[in-house]
Amino acid sequence: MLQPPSPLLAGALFALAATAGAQDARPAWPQPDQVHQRIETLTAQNHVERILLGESLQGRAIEALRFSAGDPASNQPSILVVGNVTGDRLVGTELALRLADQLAESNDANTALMNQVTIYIVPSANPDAAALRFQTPLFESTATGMGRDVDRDGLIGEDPPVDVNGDGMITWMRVPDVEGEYIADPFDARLTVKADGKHGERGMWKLLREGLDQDGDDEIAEDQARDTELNRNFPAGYTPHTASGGLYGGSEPEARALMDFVLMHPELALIVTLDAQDTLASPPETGRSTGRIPNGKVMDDDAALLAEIGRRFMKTAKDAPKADSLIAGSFQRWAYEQRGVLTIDSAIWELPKGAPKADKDKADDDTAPEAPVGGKVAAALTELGYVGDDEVLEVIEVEEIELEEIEVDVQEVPDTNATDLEDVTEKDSKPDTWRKASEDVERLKWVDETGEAWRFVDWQPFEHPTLGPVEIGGWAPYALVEPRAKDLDALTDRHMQLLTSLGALMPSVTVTQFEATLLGKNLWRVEARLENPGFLPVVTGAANRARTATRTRVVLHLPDNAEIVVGQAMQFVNRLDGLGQSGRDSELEWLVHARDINALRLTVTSHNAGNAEATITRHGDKRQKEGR
Amino acid sequence: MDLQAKLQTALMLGALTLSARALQDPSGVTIPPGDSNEGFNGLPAMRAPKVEIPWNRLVDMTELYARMDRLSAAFPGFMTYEVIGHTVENREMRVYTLTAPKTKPAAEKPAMWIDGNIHGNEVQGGEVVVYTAWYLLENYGHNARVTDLLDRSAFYLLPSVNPDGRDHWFHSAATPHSSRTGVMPVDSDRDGLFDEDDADDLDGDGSITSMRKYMPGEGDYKLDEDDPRIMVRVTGDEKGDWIRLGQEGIDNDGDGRSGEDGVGGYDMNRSWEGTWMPEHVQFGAGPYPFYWPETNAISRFFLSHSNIAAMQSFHNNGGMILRGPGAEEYGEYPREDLRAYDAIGRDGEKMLPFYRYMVIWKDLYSVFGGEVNWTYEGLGIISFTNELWTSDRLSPDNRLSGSNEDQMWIDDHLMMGAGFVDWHPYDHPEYGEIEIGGFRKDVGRVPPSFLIEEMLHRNAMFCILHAESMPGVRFVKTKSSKLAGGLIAFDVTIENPYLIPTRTAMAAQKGIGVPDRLTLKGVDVLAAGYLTDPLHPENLNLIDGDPASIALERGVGGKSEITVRFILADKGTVTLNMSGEKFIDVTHQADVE
Repeated sequence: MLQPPSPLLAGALFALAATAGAQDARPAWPQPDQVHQRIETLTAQNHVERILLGESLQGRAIEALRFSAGDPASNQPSILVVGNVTGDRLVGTELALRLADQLAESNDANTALMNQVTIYIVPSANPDAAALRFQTPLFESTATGMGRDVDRDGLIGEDPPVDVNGDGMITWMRVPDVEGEYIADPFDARLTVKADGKHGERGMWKLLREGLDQDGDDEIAEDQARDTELNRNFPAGYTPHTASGGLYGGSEPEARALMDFVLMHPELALIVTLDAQDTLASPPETGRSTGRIPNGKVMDDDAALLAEIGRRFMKTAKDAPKADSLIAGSFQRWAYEQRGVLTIDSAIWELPKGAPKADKDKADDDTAPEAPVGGKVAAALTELGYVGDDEVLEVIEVEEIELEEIEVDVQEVPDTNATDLEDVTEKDSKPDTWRKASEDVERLKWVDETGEAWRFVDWQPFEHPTLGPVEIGGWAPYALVEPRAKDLDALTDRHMQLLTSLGALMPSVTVTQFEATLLGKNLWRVEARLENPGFLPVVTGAANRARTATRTRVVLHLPDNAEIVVGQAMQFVNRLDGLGQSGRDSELEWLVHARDINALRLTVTSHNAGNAEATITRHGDKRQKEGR
Repeated sequence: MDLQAKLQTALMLGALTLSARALQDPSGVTIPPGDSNEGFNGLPAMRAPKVEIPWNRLVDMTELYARMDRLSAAFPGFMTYEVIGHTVENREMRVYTLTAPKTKPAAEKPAMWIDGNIHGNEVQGGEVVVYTAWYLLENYGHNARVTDLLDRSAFYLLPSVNPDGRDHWFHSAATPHSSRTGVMPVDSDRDGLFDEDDADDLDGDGSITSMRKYMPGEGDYKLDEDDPRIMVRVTGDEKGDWIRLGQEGIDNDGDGRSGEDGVGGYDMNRSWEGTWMPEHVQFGAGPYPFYWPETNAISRFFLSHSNIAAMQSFHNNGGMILRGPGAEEYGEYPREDLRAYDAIGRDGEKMLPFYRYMVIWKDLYSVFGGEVNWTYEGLGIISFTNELWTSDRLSPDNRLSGSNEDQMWIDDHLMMGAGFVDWHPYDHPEYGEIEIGGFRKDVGRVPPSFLIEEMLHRNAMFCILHAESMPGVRFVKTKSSKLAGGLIAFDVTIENPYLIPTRTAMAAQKGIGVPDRLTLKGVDVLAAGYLTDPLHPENLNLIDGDPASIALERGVGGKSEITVRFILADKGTVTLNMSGEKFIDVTHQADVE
């Protein structure tokens, strides 16, 4: 059941109009119909096509742009770029559209890129969630899909959060309560931390979502209309019967739209998500699963590739946020574990910690000496367009990095009221040594320094209809995930650079040898050698485990008067590592009886690394080969 | 009229009605009057049903649906169908809804779902579904239990989950085991081509049998001395003269293998949410749950029919009554629900000779993403899979075993040799001179025609047993007593006399569906709680929320009752209502004094 709007909402509308002017520094995020219009506009370009992936729960189109210069039959590898899978990450949509704008330009760099790889961009995988960003009151939630009866009273959405004080936002309430667990953060009294009973602290507030008790069950705002998080609804590591997971794995139409797209594109070599997970700043954990069920870790074979891509990205993006990856129920985990497609995730931006250091990172980069390059792989990478590097790829190990919790979980948002602020600062100017400053303390420093005051709503007393005197405030909706307007150019540049560099890493099959040696009496030994001079493998470790990759097909074509004596005309190569891994080539051999060996031809068909063809050379002759 | 006279009249009227029915019997045969002899209930003497269906055959989709449609036409108002989706080859997926029309509509009654034939080759499940409909329709109005069942409940009947697979099995060359899959093309050998190398009916006899080749002194098989149709593997140093070349076929795609990428190549009984696992963990699962159009249509039907309170699925081989979990990883089901499972399963063993009541992972094999696993673990519906055929029934007293010799003996003596295609020469493009032969597709996993009806009847009775266990509630007692200050305690006892709880423990634990709801109108309710100890009513287990409209997450258990105490402000006439997804809502008026 959807609750009719609260009478309080009317007041909220006025309040929002009054505060809107204060938010000028905030970018104008694209609304779903604007996304659609920008896609339409881009489609006018020659090498750009629009593809409909599906419809959202509320009937909004989920669209992709296709950028390609190649022939669709060439099995050229492709990259899928996805934004806004997670409900509150509209920045991913904006970035994706900006990347699309750049790719749509006719220039040599784009032509070169599109000759290497086809690029698909889905600016918004979750348009229903995006639409919520433009509603009043403003409420940030990643739970934007199908509703669930969370409090088990037989009703859905009967007690949603409400903008109780009419300031146009749904924030937090701190409620004086003997059972409260929270106190003011001794490091910054605007923030709230849990009291630690072991150290003699006693909680004084409950921290609740701004809301009422509309269903009279003594719980505040415990049953909102939407509960499913799209990026917890994918059937990989999925847990049934949870509010965020949805009805079943893949029950949300947006999830099926993305999955169906991946299924229809076996040539996908990489997926890049501009969203909330990260593999760039924090390389994912590696490890084999103990049983037969995948465990949400990256296989060793693939981890080195991701780590190397991340390391290079971080050279120019030192402030890129860390975040978990391959989260249970996420698109990324499904695509990697079950389809074997490597996913490169960027969490884009997070509210920085500490006062901004002007241009310090840039200075570091300029002064960093270029170390000499050693080893075959690094040399290959340089040739592929990478700037020279100081490490040899083979010796790179994936560090066990302890991932810091940077979940943007606003429920952990701390708070204080003004009088307590004074108390705390007077009595206790130096917090006890056992307590460490939380990351939010550093975040507030950044907010204070930059004048981004909208991001934190100072606590205001309010007479709540059922709870009595409370205070309302805390982190503003979207404060922790939305960059400033002026950050967007730099973010676009670094992700465009990433995308361009990925084009150079694509797998490709080539025939390095196709040679006949006469054994006598018109019997020839025919040898073929395939190689993948790209960085990425034709088949990832995960694709090999998931058995999803089409094998590379090698066919020996004979003239009428020739016959194979030993070997199969059609053979398959299961894996073809690139230079990022072993770089091993693959050898095939036949014995052929032929009067005219010159008519022998070899064709190679791969699902994601192009096709190749070769005509025979006789041993001792000069090699002839044709690329894909 | 005094009571005596009333009874007399009633008896006379009854007799008149009954004899009138006997005269109108459609077969024209006069049968003895009397309630127990009406309908077509399983007693044989000189009876005829309204609709004659030959229960000694197995039929394709067209005929299967035609049988259902004949039943619908013969019993107007009882059975209708809706098309819930289409198969890959655009066949209709028909769900027939069967219930008594004069009581409430199906959606307001508890309903049992029955399907069969999810594996295309496991055809006889379809016939069980039709037989169950037929039995219920023939006996409604005659047999008191059938009448009560259709008055208070409904059936959703899907004769075949896999109509494409079924028709391919009937109309294409097949083995007993082939056409298990649906027909969406899958690149089974991952060579970039789809379904390009199926088995081939080389001799054109309608069955895919086996190939063998005579290779003197080089083989690993010899021919049985008494019966050269039977191949015996050689042992030790012995040299055989024959080799087996697998099933009938050629290498259609030139990759050196034969029959490695046939039609489809997946398993629709691995595609259900719950414990769904990807393809490399669980063969046949598909790329995500409910991926195939058939399973997708069924999942949507279940999700939009919360009144389904019992579920039965029919497979074809092994003689089993199976329940989940399918995988050990799941753990065990809640005890309260196992009481219902075990009671039905154990009665089933007695009704179904040679069947064993088993847990899938423990007693059969581990499987992820099974249909009955989703319907219970995902939806909280008590669900069984029966494996219909058991070869024990060919020789119930075990005089014959399952050996090759005995199978051949049975075929020779009971089917006059019809089931075996004798070995005959064939010139194979890859192997040269070979022989082709073996048992036909309808030997081994489906009963011979003379054993079909018994299987259908016993399993239909098992379904009816399960359906009769679906929940229902009634107000059995109300009692008011005085509390301090003029307040009144009003105790309401609700009974579910059936085996299955109104809310299974699974549904309650996982928060599936909507809780049952008990409302009281007419007098102000100040508080409410579960009265668990009538001698200590002060230990009332208080219920949160609106006390005049209580959400009962755990409902009323199977064959048990609950008592709720309402604390009322005043006396008066109250209206009680108990509603829930899995039973017919009941209302009761009472005076509180």
